[in-house]
Amino acid sequence: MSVRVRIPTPLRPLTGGRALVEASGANVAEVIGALASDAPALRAQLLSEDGKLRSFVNLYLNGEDVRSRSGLDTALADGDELTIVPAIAGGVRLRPAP
Amino acid sequence: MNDVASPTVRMAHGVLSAIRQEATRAYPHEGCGALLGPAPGEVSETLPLPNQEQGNPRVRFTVSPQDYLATEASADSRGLSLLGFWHSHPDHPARPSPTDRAYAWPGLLTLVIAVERGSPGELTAWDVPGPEAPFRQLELRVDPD
Repeated sequence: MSVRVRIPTPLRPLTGGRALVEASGANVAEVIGALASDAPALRAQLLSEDGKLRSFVNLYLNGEDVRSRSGLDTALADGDELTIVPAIAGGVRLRPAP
Repeated sequence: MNDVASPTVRMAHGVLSAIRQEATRAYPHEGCGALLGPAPGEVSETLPLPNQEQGNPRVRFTVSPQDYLATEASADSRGLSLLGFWHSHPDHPARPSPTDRAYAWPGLLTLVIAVERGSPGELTAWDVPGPEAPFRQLELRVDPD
């Protein structure tokens, strides 16, 4: 499946400055793997060492949070759009990681 | 692209005034906003954003994914870059907390402004040079408008 992936500003240095890239994969994990084959550092930004989606990364498939579907196993169709959104938060009080 | 190695952040005085004003308005809650500019380390405007923290907005802030995307689209459509975000620390120093570090992204500036008893105070600038790196303080230079 060929999908479009929207790249957030802080990751664009890893995609040659591009905000929108094309990638192929049957599910979200495969698409991230395809992106990481061109930019290995991107995998480290998105996935933990055990291959799970990092807490501070949101992924939306056609506007819907993939965590509300099947996460990295969410199946893709031709023409889908995957959007990577950094979680922006903080504050003076320490809180557990989400 | 953002140059996270930029040791200096330049900011128009009007941006500083806008941050101070919004941080004061938000007090005693944490205020927040986006930082946009034409080049890495050159902040030309700030967009105030609602603190969407549902728990305790006096000590935490959250930018919604929708607001993030709208802000980034606004920057992209005008040939600007989303350089980072600022937030306030009500009645706390302008030093990033462990929570701030946990959420910090390489490639995005973190600016922190102290608000003491409702009055804006020190503003500091930080970045993280790598995914596991600690915050690095940057020189903040305010230019006259």
